[in-house]
Amino acid sequence: MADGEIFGILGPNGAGKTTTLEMIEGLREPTDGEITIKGIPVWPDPGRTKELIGVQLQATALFDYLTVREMLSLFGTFYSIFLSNEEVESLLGAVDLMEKERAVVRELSGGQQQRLSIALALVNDPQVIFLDEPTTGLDPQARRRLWDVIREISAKGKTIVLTTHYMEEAEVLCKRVAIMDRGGIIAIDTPKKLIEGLAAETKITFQSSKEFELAEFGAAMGGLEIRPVDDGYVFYAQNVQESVLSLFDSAKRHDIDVENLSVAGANLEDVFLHYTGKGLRD
Amino acid sequence: MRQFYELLVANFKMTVRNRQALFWLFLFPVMMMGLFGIAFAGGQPQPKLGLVDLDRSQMSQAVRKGFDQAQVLDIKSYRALGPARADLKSGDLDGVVGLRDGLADTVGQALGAGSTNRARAAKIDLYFDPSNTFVSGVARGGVAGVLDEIDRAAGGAPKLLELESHSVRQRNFRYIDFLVPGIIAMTLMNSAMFGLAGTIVNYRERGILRRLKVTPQPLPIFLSAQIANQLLFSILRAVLLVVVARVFFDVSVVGSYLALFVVIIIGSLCFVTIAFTVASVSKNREISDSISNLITMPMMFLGGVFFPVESAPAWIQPVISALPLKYLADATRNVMIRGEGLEAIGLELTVLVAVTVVFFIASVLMWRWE
Repeated sequence: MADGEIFGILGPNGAGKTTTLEMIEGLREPTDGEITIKGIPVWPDPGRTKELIGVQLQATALFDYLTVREMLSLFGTFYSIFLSNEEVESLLGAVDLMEKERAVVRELSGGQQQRLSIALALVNDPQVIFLDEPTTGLDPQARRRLWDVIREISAKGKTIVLTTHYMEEAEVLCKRVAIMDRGGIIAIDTPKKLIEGLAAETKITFQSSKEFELAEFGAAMGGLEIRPVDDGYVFYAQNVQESVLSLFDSAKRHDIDVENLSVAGANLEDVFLHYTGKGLRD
Repeated sequence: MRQFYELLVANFKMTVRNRQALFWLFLFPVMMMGLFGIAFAGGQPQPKLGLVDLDRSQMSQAVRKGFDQAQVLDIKSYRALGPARADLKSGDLDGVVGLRDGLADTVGQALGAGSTNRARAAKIDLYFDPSNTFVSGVARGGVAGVLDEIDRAAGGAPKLLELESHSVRQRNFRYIDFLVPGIIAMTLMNSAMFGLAGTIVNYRERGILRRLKVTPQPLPIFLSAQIANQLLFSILRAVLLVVVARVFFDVSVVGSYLALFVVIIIGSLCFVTIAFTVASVSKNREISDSISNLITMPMMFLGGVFFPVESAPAWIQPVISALPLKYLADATRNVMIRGEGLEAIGLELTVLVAVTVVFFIASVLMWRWE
């Protein structure tokens, strides 16, 4: 990973995102391979690299009865640096918790707790910050607010590694994305290039009230691959006009009705679908 | 050291801000003390008497039989007056009845004299502390009743037996004197078993230990601060209980405060190691609380907190002598109320330290971070 980038690890639950992070963070020893942070090997003694990294674990609870400010000060003492009052202030500002500094943790909302958790990952002025599913469980508004916080941190030159199973999040935030499935990386590039890498950049979805043979229908449309999805069928195309006309033409000949036709640009979800043949939330 | 201090301060704040915990830590023991102290303020209904038979005659045997049959008295036999009086002074007995050498002769003379004025009744000695009004009243009445009964059985006149009272200054033990050290000991157990074990399990369950593990902060420092906080609150709570006992129940610490301090620290550490062992084997808070209940319940009722263990039936005594709380309660009581020094409670302290060592090793072996 390059300095200063936001690197996303995208994959469904159980893909191995958290396990990968745990090995980098020094929580779980890898059975094979080597991990280095700033040239320092993490294993066998993760003590040295722990000073360099900031970590937000998936769904960490915090001490219920400490205030936001006290939490930050306490975590500051765990590192060899000393956190000045101004630095605590600026951290509070960075995660937008200024007004809440005297509130105890149990009085904070989910989004506020998550932002505090990110602030705690910053107390040691780390080189690399790991955020494990930082927005899971938040409402859309809180999620967008957290994205702003992450962007601001990145703007200060920090390297951020985050995992997510929201493709939109990876697309909006990350400079580069690794797509993981079943413990392995299946693709790694910028979101834009990953999408462009799909032979066809346009996604066409439709529904039909009738059952039909997918392979045969695809062949009739000039060898297109049509896949069933949650609420209909999907295929990718480069020439939208030609494809749509061909769809209606074939449908007419096969006596199939076409409803709710939609045409959209492909996204990372489609990249995942392309590589694994399944959806992110399957 | 700075980390330890900061963690201790943080722990202290967290404990103070947790109102529910504060209730169990402080208010509950005080309420318990008040409730039991008031409910049983009457003292033991059945006075314990020592009986010393120096005459060892058929006559004295008959008198002893009379006492043994008396329902209101709890009689224990002694061979000499010395040990009986010592037990009276230390508070183990409420009174001592002495049958003088020559009792049979005097009674024989009295019977021979018939109802003449020359008849002299035999003196039966009763040693007791008149300031202990309730118990001494019952004891004295009981003894006098027994003597009257014997006289009546012998025909009524002349009077054969006469009570001669001797006042003895006794260390006065009331139920509350017994109760306060017991409650202090019990709180050391309960706060460790429910407060500490529950907190550790909770931290592990919610991933807080994991979060600390990704910092360079060594986790043993975190746990030491946790233990230090536990000891600190044990002391604070003991101080509160001692003050309340003093102000409201007139119970004072007879022994040295230093000895009491040592007992509290050792007792607290003992239950801290048991708590860590429980936390190690418990997956979640529900399990740790259940195990803690299983451990503390028998100790609360059999460990000599509310009632003297001697009053429990003989068959259960082996069980009682295996309960750490019994030793802690005894040690606390002996220092606080009987004024004994550390050397006198060597056995109790040795047992507590041994239990601590065993559970320390167990908790280290079984400990899990996740």
